[in-house]
Amino acid sequence: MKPLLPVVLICIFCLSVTSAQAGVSPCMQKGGRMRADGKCLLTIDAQVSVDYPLDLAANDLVAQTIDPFIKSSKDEFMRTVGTNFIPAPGPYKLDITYETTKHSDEVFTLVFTVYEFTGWANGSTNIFTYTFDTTNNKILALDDLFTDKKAALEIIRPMVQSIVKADVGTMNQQDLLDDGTAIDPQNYQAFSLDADSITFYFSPYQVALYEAGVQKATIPLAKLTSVLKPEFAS
Amino acid sequence: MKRLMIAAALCALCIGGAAVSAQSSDTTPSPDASDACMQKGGNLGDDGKCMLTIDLKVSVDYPLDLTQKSDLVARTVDDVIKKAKDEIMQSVSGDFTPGSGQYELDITYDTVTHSDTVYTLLLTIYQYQGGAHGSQALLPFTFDLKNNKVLTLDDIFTSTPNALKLIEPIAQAAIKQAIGADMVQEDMLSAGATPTSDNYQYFSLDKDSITFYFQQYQVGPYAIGIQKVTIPFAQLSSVLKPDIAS
Repeated sequence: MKPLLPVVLICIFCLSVTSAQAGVSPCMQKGGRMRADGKCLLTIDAQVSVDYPLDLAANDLVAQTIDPFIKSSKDEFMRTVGTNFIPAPGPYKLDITYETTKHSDEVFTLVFTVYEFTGWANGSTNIFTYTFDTTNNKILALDDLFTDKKAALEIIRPMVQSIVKADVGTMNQQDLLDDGTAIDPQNYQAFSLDADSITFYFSPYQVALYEAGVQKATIPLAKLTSVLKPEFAS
Repeated sequence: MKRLMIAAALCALCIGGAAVSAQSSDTTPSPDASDACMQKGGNLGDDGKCMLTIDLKVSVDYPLDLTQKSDLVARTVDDVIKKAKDEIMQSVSGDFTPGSGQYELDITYDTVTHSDTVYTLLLTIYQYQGGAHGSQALLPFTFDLKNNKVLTLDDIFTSTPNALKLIEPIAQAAIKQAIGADMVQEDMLSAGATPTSDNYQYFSLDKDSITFYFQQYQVGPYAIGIQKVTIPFAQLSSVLKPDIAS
């Protein structure tokens, strides 16, 4: 009896694979959907909407930074939705909006919210930030804000963790939170500055479950004076 | 006192008017902003927002029954669809362009039957990539299922050059009659109907006739659209291969 068992299991496996293939209609195999009138329709319905920060883009550095960002976001979206037909309901969407935060007359952050729906169960929202120093004509990174980036992140990490925990409540998953807030500049690259605080943005899945959405943690600059460069501590 | 009151009222009106005009100038986009937005490929809205948009719609009525019966048909159709789809995707991969932002690709099909084993699949491809109007192309593929091949003029006629010499005057006369004397542009018609295989590559076969399709701009201005000329086999018996004529 025992030698028969693997044969039976293999047969069951074969049958299940065959029935799974049989479940996909020929039209779906082409990436289409069968309509009630019997037509196999292959469709792509894609909408892109970008709220372009025209006033800010009068500055060359801003324009040279955001134009490639917008173009690459759009091209990547179009590649995703246009490579193959897929039988998922559309329309696929790419929405880019922005807001600004102002640290001083010369330093401000452009915060882009990028929403994409490309046919999976959920759309996704991500935040991209660019902090411009118009006096020195440069985009600020963490190294420009802190005297010692690693020391700064060691102070920042527990603050971020407690803010995220309070925000997501029972949805908190500590391993996800630990990984997403590990002391790695990549984890803290999305930030904005206002007059007296810094806000870090974390994409869905980075520090919490998808349902929790984008997480943000605002920390007063006063709490970071020991690691801030003088021009930001003042 | 009365004069003072009138003066005060006028002043109030002036100030109010100035405030209104300042307000409206805040919300009405300036020509400079409008130009700057257009340079980015966007349109400046009444709210002062510069919006870059794309609205892409692709719709393909896929001939599933026909492609399931023949790998040759499936390969041919899939190739045309992929090329058309890749082309419209390419058109939205560049910079944003101001305007409606609408892009459209619509592929539909029709069939014409010559015999149990020979039929023509006509793919109509409409594309809009911005601009005044879209473009349309009609691509026929005549399949010989028995010999598993796509038929060309050489498969239809004993001598393609001789056949086209016979066909050209018939086609020209039919087109002239169809579009009317006002629309005839003799140079375009002559060039587009010259007896070359390229000019007559788009054809379909039914039981007792052959129809040639001339694409937009091939034999006349855009306004005349795609022209088609149907010629009974009976008029071409001297140049038709026996298996087609019978």
